[in-house]
Amino acid sequence: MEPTQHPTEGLIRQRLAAGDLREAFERLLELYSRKVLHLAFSMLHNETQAEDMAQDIFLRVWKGLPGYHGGASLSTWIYTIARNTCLTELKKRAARPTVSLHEPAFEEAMDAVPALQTTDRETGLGMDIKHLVEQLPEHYRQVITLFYLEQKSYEQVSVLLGLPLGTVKTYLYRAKKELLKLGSHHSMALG
Amino acid sequence: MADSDPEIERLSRKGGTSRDSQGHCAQNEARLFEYLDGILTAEEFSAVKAHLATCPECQALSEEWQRLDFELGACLAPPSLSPNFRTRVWQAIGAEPDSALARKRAQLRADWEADWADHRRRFLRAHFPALLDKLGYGVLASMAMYFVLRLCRPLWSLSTDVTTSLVQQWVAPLGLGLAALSLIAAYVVAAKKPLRRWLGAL
Repeated sequence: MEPTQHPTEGLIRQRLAAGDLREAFERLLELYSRKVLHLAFSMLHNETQAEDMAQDIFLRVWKGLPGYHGGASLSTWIYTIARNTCLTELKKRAARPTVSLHEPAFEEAMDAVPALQTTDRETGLGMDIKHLVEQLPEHYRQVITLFYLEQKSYEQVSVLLGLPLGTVKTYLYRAKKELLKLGSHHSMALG
Repeated sequence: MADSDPEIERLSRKGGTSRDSQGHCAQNEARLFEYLDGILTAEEFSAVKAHLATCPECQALSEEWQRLDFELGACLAPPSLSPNFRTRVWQAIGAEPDSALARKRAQLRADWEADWADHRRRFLRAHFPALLDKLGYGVLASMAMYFVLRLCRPLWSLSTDVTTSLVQQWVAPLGLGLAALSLIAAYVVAAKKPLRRWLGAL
């Protein structure tokens, strides 16, 4: 789906055509930093890492700016870089050996931290729903996170993730259905 | 890429909800989802709304979906960028050894050098033969002068002694010089054609 061009995008293109890379990049940061952060957050699920990733993404965008000839829409180009950068990071993470949170030694260490010793009542529903979202398959998780970050706009999710609108709707519907199912299992388990 | 959910498609085609089958709420879940997300047409929306008013089962399901929507909205709060994000990005760019600007500068330099080499080649190809021509004509003119001077020599010997001795002093080196020039001119004239070919091949 080709996004409609933001008025500032035209200005950025003019700056690029004039060879004023710095000014164009400044405008670009202004226009896309929040969206890129949301996209990174939906893929990495960690605010600090998402911001670091956003920085890395903009560094790549800066490097690529002299080679950008306006073939694709600026937003499509940036979101593609963002998605690819996040995917590379996720692949790196998958290749890295990790410590499971459920390993006995790690669980003991966690129990020793007072801030983490909260009861179910203290954590509330927010904590529960976050926990449930974490159990969703990755593609559902991305869509549902981005949907709520982007003020429930199907179009924005579609543009950011480069997915057809129908797919976004389907994923969202299935994700919510899955959440309800997980929620009912969770309640049953708690009694 | 998955297409639109067949379940959603099927229910959308049905247009509205019906209670004629057992467990209809489960069947119409997708429709309800679209209703709550506001992606139905006005007609479809009214149909679902009317059904909801009469069906407690679907009402309960709708409330469940709405609660989930509210909880998700509350828990998935958008992250915010730190105030110094822009500064950090520029610092990261500055710290890059192979920044785009440096690469662009190097590219420009390489382009300029290639252009300059091309320009020099073109200039030589266009103007060097003409230069050779001029050199050749100059040498021929010098030779002509030399022979004129040689022919005039008997005339100088008839004039006063002082003049004769002075003329003899500078005519000898001039003659030698002109002889050398004539050799060069001969070489140039002989080499002109092969040189043209060589320059043309460049």
